[in-house]
Amino acid sequence: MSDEEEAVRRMLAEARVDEPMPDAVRARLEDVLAELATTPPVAPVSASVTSLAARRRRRAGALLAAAAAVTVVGLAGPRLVGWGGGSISAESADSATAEDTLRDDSAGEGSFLTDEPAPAAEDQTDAGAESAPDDSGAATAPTPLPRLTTRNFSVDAEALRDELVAGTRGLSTDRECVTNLSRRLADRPALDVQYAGRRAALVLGKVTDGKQRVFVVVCGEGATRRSALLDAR
Amino acid sequence: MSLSDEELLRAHIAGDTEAFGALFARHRDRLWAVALRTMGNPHDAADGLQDGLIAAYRRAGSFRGDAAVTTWLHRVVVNACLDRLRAAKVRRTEPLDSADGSAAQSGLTQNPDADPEAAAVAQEQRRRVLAALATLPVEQRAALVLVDMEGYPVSEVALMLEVAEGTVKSRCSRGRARLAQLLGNPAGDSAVPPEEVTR
Repeated sequence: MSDEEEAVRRMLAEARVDEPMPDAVRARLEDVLAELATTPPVAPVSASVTSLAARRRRRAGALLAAAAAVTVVGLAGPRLVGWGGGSISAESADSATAEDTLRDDSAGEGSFLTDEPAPAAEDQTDAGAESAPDDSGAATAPTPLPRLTTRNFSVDAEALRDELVAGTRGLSTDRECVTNLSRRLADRPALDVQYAGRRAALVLGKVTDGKQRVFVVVCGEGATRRSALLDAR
Repeated sequence: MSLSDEELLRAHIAGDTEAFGALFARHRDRLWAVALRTMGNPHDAADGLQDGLIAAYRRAGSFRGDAAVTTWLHRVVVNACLDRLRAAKVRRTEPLDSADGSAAQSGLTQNPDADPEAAAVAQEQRRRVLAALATLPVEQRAALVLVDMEGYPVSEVALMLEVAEGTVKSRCSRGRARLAQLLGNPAGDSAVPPEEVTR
């Protein structure tokens, strides 16, 4: 190895990171682990060797099933109201299973950003209080929040940011979610979203050098949960 | 007696909800170091590490046991980072002193007794090295981070990157040669001005 290469090696070694993971990152990853622990456990070994074609077929099946469920709910929705929580909970559980399938299969295959017809079962604990019908049993469900997936976060965030910029989505109506966080973000445009099963806000940072960082703030928390650096629009 | 890495992973696969967290906690600082140097800034490193964490959690069943668990974890995290870089979602690095978690990286605040001038020179050199590293192709960058920065053996890095040992060596060699060009004459006293590096 030449002297030059040796010198480069030495400089690289001197530039290594010796500090531990920052507390904010550690907390964020622990949140992710906690979220994962509430989802179905590890995929079996066979899942890792399933052919792409099989995965696509399975995903297509799941999409069809989900679409059929939406249709049934849409047609029979008013009659379902008042049947009691059991039926609706069961349907939500099915929906959650399909969503998990989609998420598992989504690696590197684009976004599954959706306006969900119903919150997934895992989301009910956290988001249920906000999305549950009121005591009057009104048939008008609240407008579903667009979901930011953890796996395709950047893609989802970019799509939502673009919709907000294009005016096809409205600004957040829950400014308290953001203003509780910091003055720095309080004045920035934000969009109501669902992230990790929680109500959250997607906040658009300032554009710098043709880039824009977007942040996710989970309502009720005192920190940004995640961010992505996007090309500015 | 504490469980081994492999025992923790098996426990996770068997449904132990605490096991994966314990395994990750054991290696997180080193995984963080790799992600940070591969991605170039703390924000994107956290994103890449999170992707890797999720992938490892969900795909633990694919661990075949033909490498150490820590090697497999590094492989998953590095792949997640490289996927992000290749997707061109990350196109620039940010000044380290403007990002969270980086204050301690400057080296200026580590030892109050240290010579401030020497510390400033060391910090400037580190900045230039990182800026030059960020210009390399992602495969060369990953190889240099793992071999020269983190000190992993070439044979282990080959398993992490899923390439032949010769490929790791050639990537490192080409990467070092390119860095030597970018940094001027690293073996000598003189060096090009910092702005040359980022051009």
